[in-house]
Amino acid sequence: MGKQIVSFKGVTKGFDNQTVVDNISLDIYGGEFLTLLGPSGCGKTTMLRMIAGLESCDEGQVIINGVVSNDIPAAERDVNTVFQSYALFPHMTVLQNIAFGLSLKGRPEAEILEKVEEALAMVKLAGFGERRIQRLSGGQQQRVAIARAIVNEPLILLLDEPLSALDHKLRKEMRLELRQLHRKLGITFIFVTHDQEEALTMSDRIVVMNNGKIEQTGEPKEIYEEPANLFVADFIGESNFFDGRVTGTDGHWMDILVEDVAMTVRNRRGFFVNQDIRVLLRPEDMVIQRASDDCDQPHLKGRVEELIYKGNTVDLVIRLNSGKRIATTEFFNEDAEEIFYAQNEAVCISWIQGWEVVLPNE
Amino acid sequence: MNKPGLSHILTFRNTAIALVVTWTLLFIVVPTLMIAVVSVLQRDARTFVTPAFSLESYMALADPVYLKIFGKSFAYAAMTTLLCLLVGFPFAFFLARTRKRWQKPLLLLVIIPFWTSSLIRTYALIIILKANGIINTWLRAAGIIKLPLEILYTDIAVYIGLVYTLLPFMILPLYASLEKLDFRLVEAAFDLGARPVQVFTRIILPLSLPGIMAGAIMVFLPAMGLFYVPDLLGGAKSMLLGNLIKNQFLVAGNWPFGSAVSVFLTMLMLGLMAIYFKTMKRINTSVMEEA
Repeated sequence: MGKQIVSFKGVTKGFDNQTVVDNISLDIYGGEFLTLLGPSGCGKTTMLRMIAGLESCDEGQVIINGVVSNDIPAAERDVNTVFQSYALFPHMTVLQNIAFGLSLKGRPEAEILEKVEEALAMVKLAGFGERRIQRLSGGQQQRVAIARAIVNEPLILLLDEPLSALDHKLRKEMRLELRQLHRKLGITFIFVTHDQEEALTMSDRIVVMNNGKIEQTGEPKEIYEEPANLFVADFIGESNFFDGRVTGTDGHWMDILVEDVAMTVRNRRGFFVNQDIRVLLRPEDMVIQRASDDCDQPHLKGRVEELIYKGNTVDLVIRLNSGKRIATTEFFNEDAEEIFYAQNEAVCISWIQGWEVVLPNE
Repeated sequence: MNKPGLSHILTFRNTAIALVVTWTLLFIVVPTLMIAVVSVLQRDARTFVTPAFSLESYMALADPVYLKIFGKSFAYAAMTTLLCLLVGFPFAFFLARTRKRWQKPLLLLVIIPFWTSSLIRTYALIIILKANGIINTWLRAAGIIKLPLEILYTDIAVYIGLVYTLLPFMILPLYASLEKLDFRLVEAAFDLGARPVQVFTRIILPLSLPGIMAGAIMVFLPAMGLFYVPDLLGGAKSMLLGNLIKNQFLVAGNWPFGSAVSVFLTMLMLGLMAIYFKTMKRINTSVMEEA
């Protein structure tokens, strides 16, 4: 990981007496693909706009490449943005749009044309220079917006939900292309999205935000497998939550009661006796067996309510005997036994020890 | 419940259309045609026109005396348009960028003058501008000047009158076009390194061009015809095409020539409108149509 390229130091920003970014400190490192992930209104776009210089901060410092940049106007920052709406200039051609930044800097025309061609090739739009913006599809406009930003060779590329206006298939393609572009350019990408799948597939590091605060920072795998709190667990991926209580602990292990079933799990967070907990399990972590005396112990009991065939997986909706509904996913495996169940069939639900995430019930 | 039958709706529709068509024919098309007909007849000292075909009036348009008036009239109208643009653009921009709940009241301020006849408002201007008028009284009371400023019956008074009367016609189309301007484009330009002046010349100005053109036409054409403004504020000097037309009808009694000048002015208007719509069509197919 490179050196810090952007640092937020105690940054606070509010609009109309409402705090949008609440005393955030965050280091972003040179060359990384960092995603700010969170629900709408969590402050992620405001963070991005503060880096771009389109928003000032009320308190704290935004340091870009070692320079306190609070008072540096957007035009003088070595940062370019791909806007959510693309914000392409409608009165200019593709070429004029991409050349805009370079021509403002007064670069010689030959150099501008060469760089624009290069940028167009980079986003796979070679030969589109003379087109009018209105004649392009949404995906093509997206590419022009990217080219217009990267042609200036910025230190940091900011991407504000750039894929949200594209259809599903195109979005998946663009994820891959953005990753490739990031590798090719070697510059820092800061990406804002509310789509957890986008964040997980593209980023080196994810910053999960909520209500103007950072909930968790980490690599995608870390965020998914070891969510720091219930918000992250709920926001990222599908989860089954079970309420429970700690009945005894020796510091390393603890006895818990989950859905009235006693079991022993690792005590990773210093839980104490009688503390209310929530046990989080991903649908793909669940082990489903036909109800019999041979079921793995300990297990929860339930009945299959719904079976959803998805090609490579079979998803089940199971109603536990307590009335709670949970979702499970099982992958096809040629060696595995039959994973189709009849409706209302009684099943045992367990999981591989250690895959559960236990969080305090806040 | 009684539903209005289709035939009732059709009757209502036809009646409404017939009413509008009759009105337009009677009070717009017929007078215009009358003027067009009179313009190709001969003048008569006693009955104003005799029914004999003549292109005399149109020939007279080429007379250097009248060409000079056309030229002057153009210059006045052009200057008025420019002044309106300079005053109106910042206001319209401010109006379009201000909070939504302030826009309506501010817009109302622009429209309120329409509730009073512009002729009466021009008389009011006399009271403000004259030698012992409001401006001079204040300036003298404040000790800024000793002798009253000579404003009334000068070109300055005429420009004040024209700009004052026509400013709303510039502001409204400018506002309509600036209000639609996507401010995110301005942010994008800043992001790409543009200074404020460059943002204005490269983004805001080109994108508000339709509004500027519409405003210019709506100011330029009436500016040539507002005869009572120079009459009242500029003394009795005939400066605009409107004064020329009025004088031909009311003073010189030359109806055919007055009509010919009117037709000329109408043609000029049609020409400018044609240019405007052609340009708009070009802009529309390129700029305005969002993909």
